[in-house]
Amino acid sequence: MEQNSRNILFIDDHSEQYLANLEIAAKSARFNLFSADNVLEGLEFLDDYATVIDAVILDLGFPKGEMQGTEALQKIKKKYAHLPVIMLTDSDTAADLERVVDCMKKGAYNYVGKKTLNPVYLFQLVDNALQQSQLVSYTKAANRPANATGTFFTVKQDYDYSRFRKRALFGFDLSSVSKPTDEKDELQLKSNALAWHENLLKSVSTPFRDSLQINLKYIAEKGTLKCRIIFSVYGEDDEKMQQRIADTQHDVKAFFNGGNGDKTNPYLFECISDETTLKDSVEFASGYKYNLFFRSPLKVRNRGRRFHRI
Amino acid sequence: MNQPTLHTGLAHLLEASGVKSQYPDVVCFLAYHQGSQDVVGSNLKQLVKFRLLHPETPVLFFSFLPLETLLPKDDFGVLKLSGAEFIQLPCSNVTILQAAANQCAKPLSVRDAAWKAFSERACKSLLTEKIKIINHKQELAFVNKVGLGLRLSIEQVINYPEQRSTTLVNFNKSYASMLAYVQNPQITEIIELGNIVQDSNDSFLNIVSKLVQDFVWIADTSNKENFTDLRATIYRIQDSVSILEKLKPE
Repeated sequence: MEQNSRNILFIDDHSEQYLANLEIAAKSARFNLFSADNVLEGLEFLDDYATVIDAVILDLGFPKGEMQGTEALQKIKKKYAHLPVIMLTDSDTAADLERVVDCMKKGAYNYVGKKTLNPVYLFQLVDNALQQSQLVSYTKAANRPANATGTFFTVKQDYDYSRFRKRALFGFDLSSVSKPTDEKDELQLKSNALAWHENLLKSVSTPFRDSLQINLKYIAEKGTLKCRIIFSVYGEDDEKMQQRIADTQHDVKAFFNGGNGDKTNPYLFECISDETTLKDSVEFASGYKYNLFFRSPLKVRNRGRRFHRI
Repeated sequence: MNQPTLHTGLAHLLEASGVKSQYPDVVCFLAYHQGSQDVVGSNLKQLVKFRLLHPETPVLFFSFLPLETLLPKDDFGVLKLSGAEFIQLPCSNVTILQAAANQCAKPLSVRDAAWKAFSERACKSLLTEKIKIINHKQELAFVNKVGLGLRLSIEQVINYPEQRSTTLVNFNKSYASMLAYVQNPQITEIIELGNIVQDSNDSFLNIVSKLVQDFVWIADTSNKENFTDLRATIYRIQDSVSILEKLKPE
């Protein structure tokens, strides 16, 4: 996967017929394509990879008895409101166009007819959708009350990385609530911790996929779990970085306020309020054995049913 | 010419009459179609289809029922059409030979006005049902099954000439899918029926006729690398399918 490329998920039972023939145009528009054959598979994919998918292209019609595009759209929008969804239809009958209009009322960005589908147009449309979603995000940030920012102790520094010149750090130390009594208990605790991590990652959305990095580092030994989570927010300048800090902290706060994202949350947590600890944590954390980085690159799924990480 | 499967008793009768050896081109049908629930005239549909596809082949149509009983079941008037003779069973060898001689002497002409009326009515009726299979959401929906994939593969070949080694592989796969689609027995049947009526005044039949001509053209492998025309043909097929889908049944 190329750096700075965007990922589109196609949910269509016929995508195998045409997806390979969109690859070159997709590549030149800096898009990676993923596919799911039915809505349930698509939703499952989003549950796993929503943080790395930038847009969804969703077919309107699926075989009888299966979930249809309209219902799928509602589910996607309910869970991942920030994701632009473009509907696909192979029909231009009045009834189907009415269904498309209904989808657009329910949050679809636009629709494309398969009969006249033009790859350049399609990817430009997705590009426009992403720009619009970015704009909405900016507007929300701009309209947020000033006191909503700076929720957590945050260190800001000058930084030279890609197009970014600023970096901000904030984070938390987390300890497991209960001490496991046996091996089975400990496995359950680890599994809960991983699920919690994933939920946290899913809760943080950003229009700029390279502007936020999250380091999750944890120790699991002698019946205890300790975790340090550091958010690194990057910005081209002070203003943009401030917006991103506000966005990210808003999402994180909402996650914590919502019961930490999971009823089985295994952690007690506290905000790191020491500048040196924060700075050291992103460089090197001695004693921490495992790093889980946000946004593992994905590999385009071939004909198999599995999705792969590379 | 493939003879339809005949009831053993009738096969023996025909053998004994010598009609097969004296008139090898004559095709014999029994009105009862084995396995069909609608016993009276259940084989009339097969007779209609056979006469549409082989109008000039003489036919003998046998039934234990009288003609008057079958006529109400004959929606398209195939029993009244020249070139086919109704024979009520039981019958003698002489009756069979005489009927065969009659039909061979006056085969049906496709220039006949009666044939034109019959073929248009019958084709329209049969095709109206069969053509639905290529509509969207159906088993052989053209756009989803092959049209979109093939067209996009052509766009790739045309738009990225420097990457032909890759794009042609994709194109060949999509073209192979198209060939398999056109050779599907249900599409083949549409093509056969759609080819029967030419220059009709009926708009439905005219569109089907154009559609099947495009199917035939696209399946002709000598046109395979004529990319621009292939793309135009796919668009035409889509248009035809779209119009047929929207035409209200009369």
